[in-house]
Amino acid sequence: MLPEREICQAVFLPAEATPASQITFERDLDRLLNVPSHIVDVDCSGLTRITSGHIGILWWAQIRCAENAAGVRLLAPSPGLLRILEAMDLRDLFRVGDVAPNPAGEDTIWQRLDTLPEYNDDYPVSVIDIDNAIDRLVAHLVRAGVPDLIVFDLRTICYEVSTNIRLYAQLEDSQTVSLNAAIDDDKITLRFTDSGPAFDLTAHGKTIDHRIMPLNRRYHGFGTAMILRLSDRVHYARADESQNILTIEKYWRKRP
Amino acid sequence: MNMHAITQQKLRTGVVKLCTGRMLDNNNAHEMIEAITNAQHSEYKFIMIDMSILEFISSAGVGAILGTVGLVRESGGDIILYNVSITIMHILRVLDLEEYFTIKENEKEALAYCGTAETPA
Repeated sequence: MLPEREICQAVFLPAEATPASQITFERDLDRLLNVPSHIVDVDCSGLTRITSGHIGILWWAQIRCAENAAGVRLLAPSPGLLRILEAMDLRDLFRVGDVAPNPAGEDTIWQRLDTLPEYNDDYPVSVIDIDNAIDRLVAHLVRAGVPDLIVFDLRTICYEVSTNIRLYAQLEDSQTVSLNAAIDDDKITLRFTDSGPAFDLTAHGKTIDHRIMPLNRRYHGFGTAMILRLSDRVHYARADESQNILTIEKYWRKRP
Repeated sequence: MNMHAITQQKLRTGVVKLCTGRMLDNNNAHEMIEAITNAQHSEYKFIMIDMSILEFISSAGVGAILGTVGLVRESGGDIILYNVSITIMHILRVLDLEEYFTIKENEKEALAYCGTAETPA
């Protein structure tokens, strides 16, 4: 017989987080909690798409189990689910059993990175050209196996930086922004170069005074704070008195 | 389909729903400001914003809501965001706006909030 603390029971996390499936999940979990247990296993193997509903179910399960002095262990969570829990500061609330294999395969990612060509793009700063440049960058990051949430952050950073240049750098139609992207073992570096007037984004703070902005009916002016908050490191340099070079680093993983 | 289209629908007296398109950025942030301002001028106290198909929000998009919410709250109403995806919620969290905005899981909860938040005349 297993010691009491090893007694485990499993409930399935539904593939689709509909109101009906949530009710079923809650009923199954409550039924398991009627039996003394220190760990409730939540089987995540059927998950193909993660929504806020799934996170809500896991959050509810964690609270319900804590009320019954039990912990929640996730079985076969995908790397994507773990990343989202981590990004939402919820990861530490759960124990984790075996992690589902990454469909891409860890080794494949590194092999792919080693063979990935350097990414360089020059684009004018019209709205449509910026959109197209972002699409190309996103395609490159996805090809490299960069996680969705990191791609989303880098897409937002690229949009905000390029739009800032479009609005304030007063570039001629023939002038372009150069974007270089380098994907290393642990970080992604984006380097933007433009020939507009000197603009040191790092001189602006990360502060967003959301209590003052609505009072002043202020709609703009925190794109720089957004860039700084989404980045792990930002460096600005003025080269040859004629070029702004903005370097942004975003950490994405540790090489095993 | 227009990725930037913002549509409007009256739900009940004093409550209107705005549905975003897939993008809320510099291209349509001014339309969101206009839609919220017009709704307020049309005596809607509660403005519910359905974000179920929103995939991308820029600082200008956030600014459109942030810059108008004060006016709506001053008149005893509120702007309620709902059906917010994980990625959009991530942006709101990064900007420390998760607590400042009123955010509900779905339309039912958002409507319920409009009922309970309403103060008797």
